[in-house]
Amino acid sequence: MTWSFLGQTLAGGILLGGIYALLASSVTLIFGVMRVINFAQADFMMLGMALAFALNYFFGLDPIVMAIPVGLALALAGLPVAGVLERVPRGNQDAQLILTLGVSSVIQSLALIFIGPTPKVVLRPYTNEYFIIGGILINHARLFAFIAALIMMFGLYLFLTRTWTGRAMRATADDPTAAGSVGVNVARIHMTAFIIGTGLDGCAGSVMVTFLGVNPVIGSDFIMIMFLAVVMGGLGSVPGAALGGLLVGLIQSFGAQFWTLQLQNVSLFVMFVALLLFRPQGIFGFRLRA
Amino acid sequence: MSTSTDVRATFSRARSWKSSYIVPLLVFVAFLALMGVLQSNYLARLIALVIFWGALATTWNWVGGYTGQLSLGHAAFVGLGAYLGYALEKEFGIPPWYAMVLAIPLGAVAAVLIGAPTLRLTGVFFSLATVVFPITLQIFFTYWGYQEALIPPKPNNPYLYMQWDDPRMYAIVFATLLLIYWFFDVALTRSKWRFYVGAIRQDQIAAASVGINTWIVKLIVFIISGSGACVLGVVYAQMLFVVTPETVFGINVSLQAMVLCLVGGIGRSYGPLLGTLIVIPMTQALEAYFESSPGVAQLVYGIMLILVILLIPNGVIARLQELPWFAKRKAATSDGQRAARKSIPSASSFDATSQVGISARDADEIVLQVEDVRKTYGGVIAVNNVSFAVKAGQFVGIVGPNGAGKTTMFDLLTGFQHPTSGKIHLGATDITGLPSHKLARMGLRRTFQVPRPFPMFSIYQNILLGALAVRNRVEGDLEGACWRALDSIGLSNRAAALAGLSTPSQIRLLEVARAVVSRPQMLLLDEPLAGLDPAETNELIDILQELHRRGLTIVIVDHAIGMVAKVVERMIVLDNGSLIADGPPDEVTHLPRVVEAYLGTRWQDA
Repeated sequence: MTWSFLGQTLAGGILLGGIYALLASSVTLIFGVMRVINFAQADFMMLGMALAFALNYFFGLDPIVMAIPVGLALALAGLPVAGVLERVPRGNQDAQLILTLGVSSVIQSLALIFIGPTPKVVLRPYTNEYFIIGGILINHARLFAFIAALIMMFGLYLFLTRTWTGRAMRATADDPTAAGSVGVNVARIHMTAFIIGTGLDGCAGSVMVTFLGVNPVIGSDFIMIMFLAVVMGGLGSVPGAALGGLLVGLIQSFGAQFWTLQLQNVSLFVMFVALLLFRPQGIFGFRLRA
Repeated sequence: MSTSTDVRATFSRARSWKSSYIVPLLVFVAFLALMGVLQSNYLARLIALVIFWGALATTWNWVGGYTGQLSLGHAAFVGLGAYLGYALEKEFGIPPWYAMVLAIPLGAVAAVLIGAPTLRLTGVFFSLATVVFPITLQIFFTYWGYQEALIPPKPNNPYLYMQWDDPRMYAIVFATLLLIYWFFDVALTRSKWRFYVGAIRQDQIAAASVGINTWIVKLIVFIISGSGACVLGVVYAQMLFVVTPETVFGINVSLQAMVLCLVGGIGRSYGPLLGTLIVIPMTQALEAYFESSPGVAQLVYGIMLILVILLIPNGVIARLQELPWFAKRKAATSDGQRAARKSIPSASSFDATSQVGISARDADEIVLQVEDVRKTYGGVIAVNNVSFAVKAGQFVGIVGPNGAGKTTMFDLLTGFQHPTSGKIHLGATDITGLPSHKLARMGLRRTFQVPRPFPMFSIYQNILLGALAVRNRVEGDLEGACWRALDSIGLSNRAAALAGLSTPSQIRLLEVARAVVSRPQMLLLDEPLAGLDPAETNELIDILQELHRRGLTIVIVDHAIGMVAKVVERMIVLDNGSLIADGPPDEVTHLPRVVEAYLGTRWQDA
C-alpha cells in the first residue's frame, strides 16, 4: 500500500462525499422541517440529471453551468408534490410515507417512458480530463461537481442563517406550534422547505450527470445512501448531514479499495448499524442547526 | 391462565370464539372447494400470489401494525427462506417440506440478530436500521454468485419437491399457511398480549412505566413474524422456480408488505388481507394490460397509490367502519361493556380504596433509600450527592425552584435515567441502574409531568394495563381491582371512553389510578398539579390524601412549594442539585436557605 494509493482513495471519497453531503442536506431539510421521510427524493435527483442531459443533448448547454436553472425547474416540479403532502393530515407519517412511494413510482415510470432504460451520459471536454497532484489523479468533472456542491451548501447555510424565511424554517423545525404562534405560516414554510429540497436534489443531479450516466432507477441506488448519511450526521442537522455525506463517501471509497467494489456498501451498512447502536441520535443531535 | 380469561370476560369487544376460529376454517374449506372447480391457470396463479402476499403482509402487520415498529427489513426473512429451500434441495436433495420446518428456527435466529440491536431504536431510526439487513444480504447473495438460482427440476416427484405445474397447489399451500397465521393472529388479539403490543404502539415510555419490558415484547413479536415470513419464502421460491436476490431480498418486497397493510388498515387483523385483495390483483392486471409499453403500469400504480392515500389516509378498514352498518355494531359492543360493568359489585358496596395501597408494614420501615446519588452531564452537575430515606406510609414532597434538579432526581428514582454514582434501594433491594419497567414491576410507580395515557385505549383499559404486567401484585380478581381503582378516582361512568378524548384533569387522575391499581410500594408523581384549576387541584389532592391515609407511600415532585407544603407531611428541598432542607413543611418553608433559593438573596432582609 502506497501513500499515493491512500491519497487517491481519500480524494475519491472526499469528491464523492461532497455530492452526498449536498443530497443529504436536502433530505435533512425536508425531514427536519416537515417530518416526512421522502422516498421520492433521489428520484428528483434523477430528474435533475435527466433534465441536464436533455439540455445538453438538445441545446449543448453545460450541466454544471445549468445547475441553478435545473434546480429551479426541480423546485417547481416539487411544488405539486409538496401541495399533495400538505393535504395529508400532519403527523400521519404512514400515509405520507406511502404517498412519497407513489410519487417515486410515478417519477421513475415517467423517466422510463421518456428516456428509456439505458444509462445516458453527458460527455463534456472535462469529463475524462485529470489533474495530477502528487501522483493523485483528480477528475475534472468530479472536482467541478464537488466545488459546485460546496457552493450550493454554502448558499443553503446563508439562507438558513441570514434570511427571515430561513430562520422561520429553523424555528418551524424546532417547534411548529411555537413558530405558528409567532406568526410563521407553517404550511407555507413546509412547502418552501420541500421545494428547496427538491431544488437542491436537481442541482446535485445536474452536476453529477457529467460523470455518471442517468437511468430511471438510479435513484434507488442513492436513496439509501442519502438516508444513511443523514442519520449518521443526525436527522435535522444540516452540518451533520454534510458531515454524514462526507463520511459515507469516504467509507464507500475505502470499502471499495480494501474489500471489493461489489461489497463497498456492505462496509457502509456495518458502520451505519454500529453507529446507530452507540449513538442513535447521530453524530450531531436532532435539531436543525445551521 | 386466569389472567387471560379475566381479560376475555371483560371485553365483549374481543371477537367471539366461534367467529374467530370456526368461520376462517369454513372459509378455508370453501376455498378448497373453489380450487377444485377452478379451471383457469392464470387465475389460480393470481390467487396463489394474492394469498402469498396476504400472508406475508399479515406477518408484517404483527410488527409494523400491532407493535407499531415500521420494519423495512421484512425481505430478509423471505429471502433467507427462499435460499434455504434452494440450497437444501440443490446441495443435499432435501425436499422443501423440510426446509419449511427448518425455516422456523432460521427465521427466529435471523430475527434475533436483526431485532435485538435495532429494536432498541425508535421511529424512523428503526426503519432505516432494518432496511440495511436485506440489502446487505442481497449484495452478498449476488456476490456469492446466486444471481439466478434455478431450483433443481424434479419432474418425477412434484409433490415431494413441491414442483407443481398446477398453480392451484401453491395456492393451497399458501392458504394453509395463511390459515395458521390467521389463527395465531386471532390468539394474539384475544390474549393480554394485545394490550402489551397496543401499549407499545401508542407510547413506549408509558408502557415501560406500567412494567412492560418493551424490548422483549417487541423482540418476541419480531421473531414470530420473521419465522412466519421465512416459511413463506421457502414456498415462494418453489413457485417462482428461479430465485434472484432482487426478487426475494429487494427493498420492494419489504415496501410491498408495508403498503398492503397501510392500504388495508395498519394494525388490524383484516387490514393486510383487504389491502392485498385490492393492490395485488390491480398491479397484476395493470402489468398484463400494459405489457407492451414499459413503465405505464408502474405509472398507473403510482398514481393510484397517491389517490388511495389522499382519499383514505387511514386505510380501507377505517373508511368502512364509518359506514352505518359498522357504526351500529360498534355501539352494540360498548353497550356490552356497560352490561359487563353491571356484573361487578357496585361502588357503594365496599370501600372504594380498601384494596388500593400497600400491604401493612411497620411504620418505621424504609421504603426508599437514596445514598449519595450524583448525576452529571459532562461538566454539569444536575444532582449533587443527595441522600435521603422515605419511610413506609410517608407523604413526601420534593420541591425546588426550576433547574434545581427535581426532574433529574425523579428520573433517577424511577429508572428512566441512571445515577453517575451513589446507590438507590427500594426496600432491601438495590435498584441502582435497573430499567424502569423492572422498577414498575417491583412496585415503584410513577406519573408523568406531561401525562402519557394510552390514547387509543379506553380509560378502563388504561387502568387494566397498569396491573396487567404485574398481575401477581394484584389481590383478588383483576377486573374488580380495576373497577375499584376507577371508583377511587370517580371515573367509573367514563370507563368506556377513549383516554385520548378525556380532559387533562381526567387523564391526570387516570395516571394515578393506572399506578395504584398495581398496589405499588410507592407512588411518585411528577408535577401533578401543573395546569389544573383550583377545583381540579383539590380533587386530586383529596384523592392523594385518601390514598395516603390508606397507607400508600407517596412522593410528589413539584415546584409549587406553597401548594405542596399544605399537603405533605415532610418536605425535601433541592437547589442547584443539592439537598438544602429536609423536614416538616412549616419548618422547611421558613428556613432562610429555602427562602433564598426560591426568592433570591435580596428578600432575606425583608
